[in-house]
Amino acid sequence: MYIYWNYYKTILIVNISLSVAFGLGYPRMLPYIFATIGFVLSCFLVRFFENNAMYLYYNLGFSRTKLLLGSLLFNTIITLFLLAIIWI
Amino acid sequence: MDIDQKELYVDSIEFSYSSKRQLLSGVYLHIKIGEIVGLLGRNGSGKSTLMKIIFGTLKPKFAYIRLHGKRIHKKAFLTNEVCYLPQQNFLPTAKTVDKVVHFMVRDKNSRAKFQEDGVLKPIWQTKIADLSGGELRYLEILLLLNQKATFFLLDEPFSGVSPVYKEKIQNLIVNQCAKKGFLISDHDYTNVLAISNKILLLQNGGCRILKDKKELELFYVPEGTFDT
Repeated sequence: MYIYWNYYKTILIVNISLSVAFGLGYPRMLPYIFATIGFVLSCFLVRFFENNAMYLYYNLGFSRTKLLLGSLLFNTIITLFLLAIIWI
Repeated sequence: MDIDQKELYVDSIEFSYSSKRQLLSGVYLHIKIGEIVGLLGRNGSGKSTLMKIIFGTLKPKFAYIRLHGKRIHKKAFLTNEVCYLPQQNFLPTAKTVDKVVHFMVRDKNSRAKFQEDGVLKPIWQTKIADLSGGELRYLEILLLLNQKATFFLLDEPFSGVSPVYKEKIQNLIVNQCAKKGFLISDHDYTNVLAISNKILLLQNGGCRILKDKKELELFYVPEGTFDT
């Protein structure tokens, strides 16, 4: 879990920045942007700019697919949390 | 499994980046525990490509890879039996040495050994981005050797490293050799030859096993290089 979270942290920082930028003026849209285009774009950017860092995870026995699925899970949990805040 | 039975067997590797030129064709190599195999070859001969194919991060047209007697169909790194040191540094530059060690080494006793290491002790709180080339390479290799893998593919471990660190890296590899197998590629062939007990030359898409370093004069280095 620790490895998955560490990988997701990089995506999360990029995703928050992108979601805030895209959602300026539409705070209620933020969870949806965070869960969709923000997540996809962040994964792409992290893959593009931190490609060599993947060897860290490969050497620990983790594939990119496994890490992305783990990230999707974390992202969904955070999205649900954000949606709950908006609904409340 | 008995340690003597552990092996990495690679055969019939076919790979090309474009349809015009076949980079690797029918490459064969066999590494056992205790072996340090030096993989030499000119620029663009496919050394790094071969290592990436064995490790599982590059897909070949065809490859037969056997690990400890069993053919592996999935990526080799997923078995936790193979580690790969890429040419470019792979540690996250924003983290400090202790954070990276904490991330990659889960055992407390092993982490304590890292902290007491003569090279790492003075740089323990230093960011990866601020390390010298030699310190960084040393740390990367030490972290990899601490993994439970049996076979290690080291791509240019001596590149951009000062003679003092080259010797330290050589010692790290030789000290682990009894329980592990190594495939080392580097253009600094003198350092590779100094520790390797088997030499392979990658040439024209295939692997040639050389009996001794003198034979390198026929294919790789100028004649008279090893005369003394």
